[in-house]
Amino acid sequence: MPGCSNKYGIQSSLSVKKSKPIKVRLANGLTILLKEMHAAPVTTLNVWYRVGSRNEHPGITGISHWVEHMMFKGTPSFNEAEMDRLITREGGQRNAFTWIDFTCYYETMPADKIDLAIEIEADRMVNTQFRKREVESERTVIINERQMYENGPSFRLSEEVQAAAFKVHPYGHEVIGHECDLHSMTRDALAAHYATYYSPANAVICVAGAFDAADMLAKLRRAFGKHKAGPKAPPVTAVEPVQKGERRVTVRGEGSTNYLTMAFAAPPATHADFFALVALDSVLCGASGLSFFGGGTSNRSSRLSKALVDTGLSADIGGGVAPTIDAHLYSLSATVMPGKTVSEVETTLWDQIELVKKSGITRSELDKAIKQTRAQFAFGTETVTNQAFWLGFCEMFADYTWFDKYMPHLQRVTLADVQRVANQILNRDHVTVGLYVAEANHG
Amino acid sequence: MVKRPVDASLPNEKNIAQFALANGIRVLVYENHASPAVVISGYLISGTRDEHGFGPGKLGLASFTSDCLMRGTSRYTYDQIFETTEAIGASASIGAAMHTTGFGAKSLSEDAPLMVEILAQAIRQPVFPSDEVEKERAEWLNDLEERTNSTNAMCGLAFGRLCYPEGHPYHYSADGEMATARSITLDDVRQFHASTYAPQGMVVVVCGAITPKAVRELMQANFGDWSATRIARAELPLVTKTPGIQREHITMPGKSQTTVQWGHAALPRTHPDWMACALMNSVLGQFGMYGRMGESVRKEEGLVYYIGTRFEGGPGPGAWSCYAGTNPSTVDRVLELSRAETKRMQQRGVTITELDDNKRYFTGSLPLALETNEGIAGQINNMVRYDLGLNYLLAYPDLVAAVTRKDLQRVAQTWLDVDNFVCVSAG
Repeated sequence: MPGCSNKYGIQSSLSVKKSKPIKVRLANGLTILLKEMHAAPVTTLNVWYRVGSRNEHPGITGISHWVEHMMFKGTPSFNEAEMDRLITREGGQRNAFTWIDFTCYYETMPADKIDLAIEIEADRMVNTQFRKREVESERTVIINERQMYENGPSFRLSEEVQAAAFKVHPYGHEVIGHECDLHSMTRDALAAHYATYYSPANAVICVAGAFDAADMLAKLRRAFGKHKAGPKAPPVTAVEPVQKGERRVTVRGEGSTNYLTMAFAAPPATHADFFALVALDSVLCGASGLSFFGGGTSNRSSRLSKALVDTGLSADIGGGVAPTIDAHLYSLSATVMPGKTVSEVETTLWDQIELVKKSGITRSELDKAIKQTRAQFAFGTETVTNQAFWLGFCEMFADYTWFDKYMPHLQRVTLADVQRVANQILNRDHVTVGLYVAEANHG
Repeated sequence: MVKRPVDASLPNEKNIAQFALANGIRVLVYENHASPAVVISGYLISGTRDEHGFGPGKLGLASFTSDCLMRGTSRYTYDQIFETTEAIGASASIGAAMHTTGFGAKSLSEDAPLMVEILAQAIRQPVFPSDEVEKERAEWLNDLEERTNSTNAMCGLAFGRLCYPEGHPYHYSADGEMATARSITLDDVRQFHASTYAPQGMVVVVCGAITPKAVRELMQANFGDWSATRIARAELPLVTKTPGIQREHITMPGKSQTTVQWGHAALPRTHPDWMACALMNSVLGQFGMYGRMGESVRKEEGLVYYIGTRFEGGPGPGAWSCYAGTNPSTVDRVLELSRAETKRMQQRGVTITELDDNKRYFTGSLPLALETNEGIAGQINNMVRYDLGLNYLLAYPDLVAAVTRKDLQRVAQTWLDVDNFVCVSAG
C-alpha cells in the first residue's frame, strides 16, 4: 500500500506482514484455501458449497436455504444443542448464509480452538440428519423468517422485480423461496438436495487467521480427506434471453412511503465489463463497502444523491452491483419523499442516466472511485472473517485471485469504458421498473 | 505449531496512552498497525435527556441538532464535508443518544488529520444554514413516516412509553414525533448546541496506525482552545414499577408478522449486579441460538425465527426485555413460553454446566471482540464511560469467574418480574 505523508508524518503503511493465500486441491476434489494472518489470536473457518437458489426450480424454491437450517440440526456425533454449545462456550461465533450462488458456513474462533470447528464441519458435510420431526419444526421457523422479511415493503418489491426481470433463469425467485413451496417441501426432497450438493468435490474450505499453514493443511486433510468425492452436481443450463423491452411491476401495500427500483440486466463477475460497472456505480451511487458484514461510506457526494436527495425528491438512493456466476442485475433503489411522486423520481433518474450515457464521467470522478475502493479494501479486509469470506466467495464465480486483482482491474478502467458500459447496461429495453405504491398514497 | 500472535496483549493502562487537554477533554490512544487505518470514537455530554429542559414540544431536538452538525461549519459547506470525506473513502458520523452524543470517523491513517479537523469543525463550529437545516428536517419527517410502517419501531416506542412514567426521558421517543419535527425551530437547534456542547466530560478514543504524539498534536490543534461550558443537567427521575400486566397491541394492517416485546425497567450498567445479570441473561436468551428461549420457543415449537432477551443497561435504569417476531396467531403462546422460561430461571436458577459454559463464552470471546480497531475503541470507550478502569480487561476473567450460581438465581429474582411487566405487540 503506497504511503502518503502529511504534516503530522502519518503514513498508511502496514507493519504486520500478510501472507499470500495457499490453494490446495485434495484427491476427493475438495478445494482448500489458507491465509495466515497473525495480527490477532483469531482464526476463521469457512465451508462453501456450490449450491444456492440458482440450483432450484418451482416446487422446491427455498430448498437450499432450508438445507442450511437442517445443517444445524445435528449428526449422530454432535446433536444440535451440543454443536451450538461447544462452539459458543469456547468464545466462538458461528453462522451460515445462503445466497443465489452458494451456501456458506463459518466459525470464527479463538485461534487455539479452531480444531473444534474443523471437526464439526467435516462431520456435518456428510452426516447431517433429516429427522421428520425436526423438518416440521423448522418449516414454521422458516415460514416465520419469510414473514419477517414480508413485513418490509422493500422485500416485497424486490421479489416482484426479480420475478419480472428473470423469465427463465432461477435467479427469478427469492432465496427464502415461495411460501407455497415452504408448505409443501418434503423431508425426502431436503435429504436428496443435501446428498446431491454437499460433498468435497462441490465444496471450498477457507481458513484465515493465526495458524501455521502446513499444520493447518495436515489437519484439514485428516478431517476432510477421508470423505468420498460425492456425485457430480447437475449443471445449471438456464440462460436468460436478452430482454427486449421495458418491464414494469407495481406492488401495492400498507404505509405511506413509496419506493422505486430500476433493475438493469448486468454482466456476471467474470465479464470484462464488470469493473467498469463497479466504477460507474461508484460515481452514480457512491462506493460500496467491501465488508460483507457492513461498512462502506456515505454517498452524499455521488451524482444521484445530489440529483435526488439534495433536491428533496428522494430520502436516499442506492446502487447494487454484485459478483455473480451468471448474468444478474444492476439496480438503483430510491425512497420517495413525502409530497413527491414516483414519476418525478423516475424522470430525474432517467435524466441522470442519459447524461452519463451522453457525456460519460470525469477523470476526477474515476480517481475518486479508485481511492474510495482502496480505502474500503483496507477496512474490509481487517478481520479474518472477511478475508476468508472473500477468498471463498471469489472461488464461487471465478477463483480467489479475482479479489487480488480487484484494484488493478479497477485502475485499468478508462473513461471510455465507463461511458460504453453505461450505454450498454443502462438501456431502456433492458430495465425492469418496480414501484411500491403505499395505500395512503393511492391515486 | 501455532505461531505466537504478533500482539496478543489486551488493551490496558500500559499500552493505552492517555492524556487530557486543559479544557477537560480526555484522550486515549491505542496504537495498532495491523491495518493502515485509524478509527476515532468518542462522546460528549449532551443527549436526548437534555432536551426535556428546553420546554414542551422539543422531542427529537438532541437528535435533530446532531444530525444538522455536518450540514455546514464555519470552514466547510455541507457539500465540501461530504465531497472531502467520500473522496478519500472515509466516513464520519455524529449522533445523539439518551445520555451522550457519540461521534466517530474511520479513514486511512494518512487521512486521520483531516477527519479530526472535520469532526472538530462539526462539533464546535456548526453554522446550521437554514436551507440545509430544512433539508435535514424533510429527511427527519420521512424517517418518522417510515417508522410508522415498522412493527419493530412501533413496538419499541410503545414499550418505552409504558415502562417509564411521564416526565422520565426514557418514556419518550428519542427521534421525536411528527408534530415536534415540524415545530422545532432553528433557534431551538442553535440554543441546544450552545447550551449542551462543551469539552467537559468529552472523551476521544483513537485506535489504529497512528502515534500518541501525532494524536496529541491533532487534538491540541483542533480542540485545545475550545472553552464552551454546558448548562447543568437535571437528575433522572426515579422509576417505580406499575403493578400487574399492562398489554397493548398496535394494529398494523398488511403485516405478515407481529413483533412482541415484554419486560420492565431494570438496572444501570454501573450496578454491582451487572456481571451476574449479564451471565444470567446469556443463559436465558442469548447463549448459542438465543439461549433457553431459543430452545423452547424456536427449536421445540418452531414458533419464531428470532427470540432473545436483553438488559439495555446504560447510565440509567435501562429495561430488561424479551423480544420476538411471530405469526399473529401465536403471540400468546410465545408470551406464555417465554414467561415460563423466565419463571424457571427464578425458581431453579442455572446448572453448573450452564454457568461454566457461559463463563467460558464471556472470556473466550474477548479476542474476537478485540480484532478490529472499532472493537478495541468500543471496549476502551466502555471502560471510560462506566468508570471500569483501564485494566478492566485484565481483571475481566476474574470478575467473571467470581460469579456463582446463587448470584444468578438471586439477580433473576431481583431484576426479572414475570407478574408485573409491560407487553407490547405490533402487527
